Amino acid sequence: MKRHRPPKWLDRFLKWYCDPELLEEFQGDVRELYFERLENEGKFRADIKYAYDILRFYQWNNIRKPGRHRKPNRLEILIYSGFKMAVRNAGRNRLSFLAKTLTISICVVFSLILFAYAIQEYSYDQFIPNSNLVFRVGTEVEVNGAITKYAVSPTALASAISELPTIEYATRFSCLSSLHHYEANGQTYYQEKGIITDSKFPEIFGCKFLRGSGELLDEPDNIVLTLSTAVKFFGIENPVGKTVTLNNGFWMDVVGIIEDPPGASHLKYDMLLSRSSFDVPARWQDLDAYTYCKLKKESDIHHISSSITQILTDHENEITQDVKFARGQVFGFRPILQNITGIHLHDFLNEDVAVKRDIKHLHFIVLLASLFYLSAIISFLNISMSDLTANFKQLGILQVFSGSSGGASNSFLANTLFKILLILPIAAILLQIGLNLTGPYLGITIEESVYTSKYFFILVASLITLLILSSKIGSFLVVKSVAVLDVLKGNFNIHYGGVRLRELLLTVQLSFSVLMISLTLVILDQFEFISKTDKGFEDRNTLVIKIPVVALGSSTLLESLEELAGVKMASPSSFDTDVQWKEVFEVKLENGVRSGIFNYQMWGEGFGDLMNIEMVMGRGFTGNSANDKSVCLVNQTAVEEFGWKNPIGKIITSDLGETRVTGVVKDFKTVSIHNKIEPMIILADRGWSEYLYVKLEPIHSTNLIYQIEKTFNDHHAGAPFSWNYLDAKLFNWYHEDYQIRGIMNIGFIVSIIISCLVVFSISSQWFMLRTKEMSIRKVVGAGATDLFVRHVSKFLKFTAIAILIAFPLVYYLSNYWLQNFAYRINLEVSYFLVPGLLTFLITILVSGFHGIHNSKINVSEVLKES
Amino acid sequence: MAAKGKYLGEFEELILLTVASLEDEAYGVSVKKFIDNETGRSVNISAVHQGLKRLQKKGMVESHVGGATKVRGGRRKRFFKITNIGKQILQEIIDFKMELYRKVSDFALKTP
Repeated sequence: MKRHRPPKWLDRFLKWYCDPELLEEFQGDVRELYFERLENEGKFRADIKYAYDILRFYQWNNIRKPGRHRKPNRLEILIYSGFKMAVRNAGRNRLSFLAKTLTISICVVFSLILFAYAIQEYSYDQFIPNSNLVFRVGTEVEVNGAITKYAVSPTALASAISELPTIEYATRFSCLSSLHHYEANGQTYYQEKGIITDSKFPEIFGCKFLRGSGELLDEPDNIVLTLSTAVKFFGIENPVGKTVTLNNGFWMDVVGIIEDPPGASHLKYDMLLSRSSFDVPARWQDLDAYTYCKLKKESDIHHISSSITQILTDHENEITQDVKFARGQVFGFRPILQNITGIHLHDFLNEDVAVKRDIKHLHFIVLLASLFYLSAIISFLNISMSDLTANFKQLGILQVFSGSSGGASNSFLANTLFKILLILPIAAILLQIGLNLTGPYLGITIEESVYTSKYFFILVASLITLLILSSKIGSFLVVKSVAVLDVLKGNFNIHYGGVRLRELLLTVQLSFSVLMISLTLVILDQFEFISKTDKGFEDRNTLVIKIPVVALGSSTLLESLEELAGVKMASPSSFDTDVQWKEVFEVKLENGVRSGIFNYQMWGEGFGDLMNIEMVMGRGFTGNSANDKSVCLVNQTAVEEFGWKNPIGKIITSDLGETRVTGVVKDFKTVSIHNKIEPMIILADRGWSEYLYVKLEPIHSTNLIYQIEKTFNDHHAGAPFSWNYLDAKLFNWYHEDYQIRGIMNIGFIVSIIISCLVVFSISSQWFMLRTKEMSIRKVVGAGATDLFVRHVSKFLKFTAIAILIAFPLVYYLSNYWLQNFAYRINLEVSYFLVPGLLTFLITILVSGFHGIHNSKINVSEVLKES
Repeated sequence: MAAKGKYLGEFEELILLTVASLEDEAYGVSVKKFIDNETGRSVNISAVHQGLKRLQKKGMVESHVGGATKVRGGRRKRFFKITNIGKQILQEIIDFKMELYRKVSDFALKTP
């Protein structure tokens, strides 16, 4: 007999809409009724009534609510259980878990800060619209084969190149140094940086106008202020239409307000002044304009370069017309075209005003950041695997539960997600703390815009992806190599892939430590070398005061200062620790004449004595300005360079006049030891020197600086008293090196902590896995020392491999960093041996903890338990 | 009279009385059949379920799931049982109705 059933589609409909909590009872009831009706009333009526019952039940209260009663799938259940397992594990070893999480977080944060800094440095000037089309035109000057590179170009070049068909427009500008003063609203200001330019400047540099426009910069007596300068000068008033006075001689009308240039701009300025207000003619002989141009789209830069070379060659005679001894000399002028986004990282050019960063330093920072980034991932994987292998039994049960290795793998993933969820907020807090500390301690300041940039987002996303990916690989290796039956029986076989991988990771981690220790040692020694290197002058107790433009050449201040008790002597000089002054000189050699661009300085009377620069031959300046203008001094390198047997009496000529060498000074450093000492010609001060050097007695009154400031103000009322100690100024020579040293010091500590942690975690695992083996060894006669050595020696093997891996890297990176210095330490064996020994020591100490436990093992208890 | 929230409609009262009558055998179909038989009116199983759900929400009945039976295709029954609150409410309703009834004169109830 055919057995009837209720229509399936009605069942499916009921199942689809009905709340799962009500489904079973209701379906059961309607079926019970159906079969009764089937018997009593026939199939047709039973079906109709069945449908009616089901349709009647279709009410709001009975229907399924989306998401409320979804059954979690197997993966979700496993992840949830894995998550619970991770939380339980963390809770069981709270201290160790906290230490591990913190260490990885520090590692992650440190690498993120360094990467963010690198992103910022690489993205300089990228805010400029169509930055790929904007170029700066510098000049390469060749005099008799010797090349000097300048950031500046002839003032007439901009208008000449703007006529080229491939150039959209070009502009030039000159900078007003902070020595100039401005008056606005009855107040005087000194520190502002002004740029003398035209209306094309805002277009090329993408200045955003908040008020007014840049077109008026083509008309005389107009000025555009940055927002911060406008607020400084005029407060909350609308500054447009108001007047700013420059050096008491120029009255400029404010015609616009622009946003401040972004932090990642190679050019810093506070205001733009219209060029037609000043007498700055476009002449070929004035090589002192910063020229920028914007190319038309799809222009060929090589073609433009050759066009500009042609322009410069065509005007060569005009460029050299003011050089007195140009006749007979071979000159060559070529453009240096630099894309605006590359200026920040390009080598320093003469007379460059751009904010610079040594690209080698930046590469070094990126490399360190990458090492920390990798180290974070390796440590993460290592520690996660150690957690998982410590829970072998759960692993086995999970494998059985899920019927495949997928379950354990998911549990591992849950473990990873749990750690990431913990690490991310800790890292965010540490990032905030780190950013507050890196400013004052490492000189690293990062703009907020970097954190919202796509590069930083990619970095963080890739970090999270790599952490998850590494955990998947780790779980695959651990899970695939564990035999479930063995695990559940309690037989731990230590020859499985997880341990192998962890040993490999341990080796990499130890290599990283060796590398960091070695590099830190090299860097510390190089700094020791820098501090001990003879600069050729005495920088202690020396004050450097900047002289305002209005006071240049005035000797009254100098006399008043020398009368103060505690002041040994004072002298003006153009010796600028940040800038090298260069000029075209013609030098009479033993046989013949040599022309070229050489460094020069101007010294006031007694400056050599003030700085304790040794005279090795002849005499210095006499103090008689008429006589001194016709004489000069040179350094020892110049004597060698010019091949003079007897330098005294030799003639050196320049636009500043003809001078005769009367003395030779010992070589002294005018730049950091990154560069070699170059020939130096020293002329007597002509009243143009921007600095006043003041030598103080070693023991002087504490308020001497105050007295000097008071004397300064008495002579130049209202002028800013801008001063610094010479030794502090010299610190700038190594500013970037100090940054690297700071980063290395932190890296050194973090890398050692991580290595200790990894060694400790693997050591504890080995200890756990080999307890029975060690007990048996003890029973058959092995001594405590033997067990200790057996445990520790395994680590020594990996340490030795790590050291061998690290050595080539140490050699390459140390050389890479040291190549930056013209004068440097030699790489000795000790830079390899000491870090190697130190790493051995750390490994022995950390693994020794379990080694001692091994030697003290309670045999009877272990064997009883098993 | 029952407090607000404990109000029972006529059909709910009927179901509650049925659950009380059936003692341990009250589930959807048995309640429906009891009402059908005792009152002579045919009620829909869906309405019975709604009523039971509402009574359970009000705390007047409690439920538990029984064992699977073949006739229901292996689906389990949900058995309902009156709670103390249910009993109390039922008692109150009966008392109230009795009191009202007593107030009605014999004469008024006489059929002509």
